[in-house]
Amino acid sequence: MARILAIVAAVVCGLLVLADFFLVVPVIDALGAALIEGVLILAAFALILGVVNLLGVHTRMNGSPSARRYSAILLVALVVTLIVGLLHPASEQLTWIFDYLYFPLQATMGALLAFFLVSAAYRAFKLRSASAVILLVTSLVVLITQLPFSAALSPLLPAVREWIFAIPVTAGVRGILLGVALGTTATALRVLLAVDHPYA
Amino acid sequence: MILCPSCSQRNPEGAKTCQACGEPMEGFVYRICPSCDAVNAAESAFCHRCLTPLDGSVALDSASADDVPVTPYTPPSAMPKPEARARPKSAPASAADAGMTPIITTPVQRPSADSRRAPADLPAHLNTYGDAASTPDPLTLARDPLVGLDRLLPFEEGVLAAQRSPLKPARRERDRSQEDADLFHRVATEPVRMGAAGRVVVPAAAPPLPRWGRAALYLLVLLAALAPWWSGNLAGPFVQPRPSVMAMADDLAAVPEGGAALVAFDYGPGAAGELDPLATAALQALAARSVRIIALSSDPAGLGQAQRVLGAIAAELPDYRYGADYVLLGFVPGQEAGLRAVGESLAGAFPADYAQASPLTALPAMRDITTVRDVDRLIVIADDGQAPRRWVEQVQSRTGVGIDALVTAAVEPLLAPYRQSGQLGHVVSGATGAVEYRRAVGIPADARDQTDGYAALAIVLLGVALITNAAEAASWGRRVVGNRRAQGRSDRGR
Repeated sequence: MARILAIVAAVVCGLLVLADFFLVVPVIDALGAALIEGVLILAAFALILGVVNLLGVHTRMNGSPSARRYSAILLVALVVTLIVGLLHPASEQLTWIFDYLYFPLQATMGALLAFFLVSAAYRAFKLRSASAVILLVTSLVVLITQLPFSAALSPLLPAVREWIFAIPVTAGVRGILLGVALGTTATALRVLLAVDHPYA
Repeated sequence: MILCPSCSQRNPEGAKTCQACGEPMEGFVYRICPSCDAVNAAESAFCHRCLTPLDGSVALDSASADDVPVTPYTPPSAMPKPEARARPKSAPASAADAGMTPIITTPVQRPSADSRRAPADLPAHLNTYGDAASTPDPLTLARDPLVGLDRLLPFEEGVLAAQRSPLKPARRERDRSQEDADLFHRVATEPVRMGAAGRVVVPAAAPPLPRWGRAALYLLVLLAALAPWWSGNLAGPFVQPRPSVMAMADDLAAVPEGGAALVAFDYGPGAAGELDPLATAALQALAARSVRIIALSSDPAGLGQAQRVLGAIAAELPDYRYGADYVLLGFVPGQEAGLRAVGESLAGAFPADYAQASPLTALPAMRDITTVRDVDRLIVIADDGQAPRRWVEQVQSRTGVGIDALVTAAVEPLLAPYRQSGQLGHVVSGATGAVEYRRAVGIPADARDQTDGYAALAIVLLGVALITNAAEAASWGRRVVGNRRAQGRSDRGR
């Protein structure tokens, strides 16, 4: 019975939000807005659950000594940020944590990407097949056009870049997006028709 | 003799536990004939092949169950791996030869030579393998016509082994039933899959970069990253705004003074080096014309970025104040649902702003603005392709508000379809885009633009691609020339 109720609730809510997307009916709009607000509250609770789960995982402390050390650092950082954020939201202390702890660490991780990029370029840009030739030529053109003085090298280069982006790249990305959209539609239909009900 | 249902070890009749693994023997399903070694069902009283009683009276007449030496139980984890247990060709033929204690010492009763069939009684095709000296015993033949044919054919060992191997999976009837029940439950409750996953194409592994080569490459990347410090903005004068950047600058310039722009900071510090200059350039131009900026984020890390960028702009324009000219609404969770809520009502998604916790209606910057439709432009600053896509799907498609995207260079190609369809107004990318935008709106260059750094990194990548392939081509050429020379020497030798 509980399972049937869950399926009915999910299907009705899904249909209501879908109808709200396509129709302009005040009652449906109000219902859709209320449901969306409920989703936001659920999403906020999901964040809390995530924090609880994180605490559960890292308070077990059953890994290697180095893992336990990292767990301790994570827990301290989590608790401190949480307390500061709850007591003083949008405060200077929170900004300090972001500017002098989170930002440098994340920026460092982002900067490492450049090193990985060059290593990957060494492997990917080798002419081993026809596909590799296409990849190499396209990459070189795009890389050259990324240079500020590319237009000075040849006035054709910006036009070639625009063509690459407008025709082959758009065609490829559009194909991927169409596939994703079809998959999303099929999945949504399965949920709405109660063929799939992963929630119950 | 009964087979252990767990490990297939042969145990004497009446054994309560297995001598090898210690598992209880109740529920065993096979008996082995002590005379002819045939496998019989547990409930059989006589061998189906030779009619020998299966209660062990024949086979164990000289060795009772108590005489069988018991091997201590070895847990499966401590047992050697199958390949380690496999007997090499030079290994002793039996456990006794190897100096080990055999598990079963009771000799298996084999049919005697005189109980075998006469060659004349064998089918013609079996006579080749039969023992011509063996004499059939009429009584034995009458009891079991197959007696004497054991191990007669050269491939019989293999066939018997194949027959014995299925014993293992069949031995735990209860376990198998449980597995079947579990499988049925899983199939019945698991969501139906949409089809088999696509074939995974694994590219051929390229040879690893030598250590010195990796070190050289990383040194070049380091020099490229440090380029803005020593190059003196070499690339800056070459930057010319592209038409797309000019068009975006024109559209943002068309926002009336006192108008409003909704800005989504959907990127983290990892992309700050590339996106902070771009965001600063675009928003500084708006702030200079007193356009209100209403900032929010669907990325938790985006709040800090918004504070940094807006703080920097406010520091340069002292008259541009929080609450009156710009406001930070906060983080909206829920991704698609969150943006849907933003598209419905800003006050519904954000009851109060982030910095002052004031109701939106109390903020001068939010005057006349209740929904996304009330703003003049919507700018999404993102370091991945998903955030602009969500904005297009959840907000632009419902409200019709034009969206401009400021993204990293890697994301720009992913947004090309949305730009072509008109769902995204303009897309500007990368650190070069920041310089182009500054030039387009007439703002002096900023030290944080780092154009030289990105240009140097692009040159390094170009160099890697060209040098790698040149080296590869040279190596290939040397191989071809060497082969031809070798071929020529070979031809001359003939």
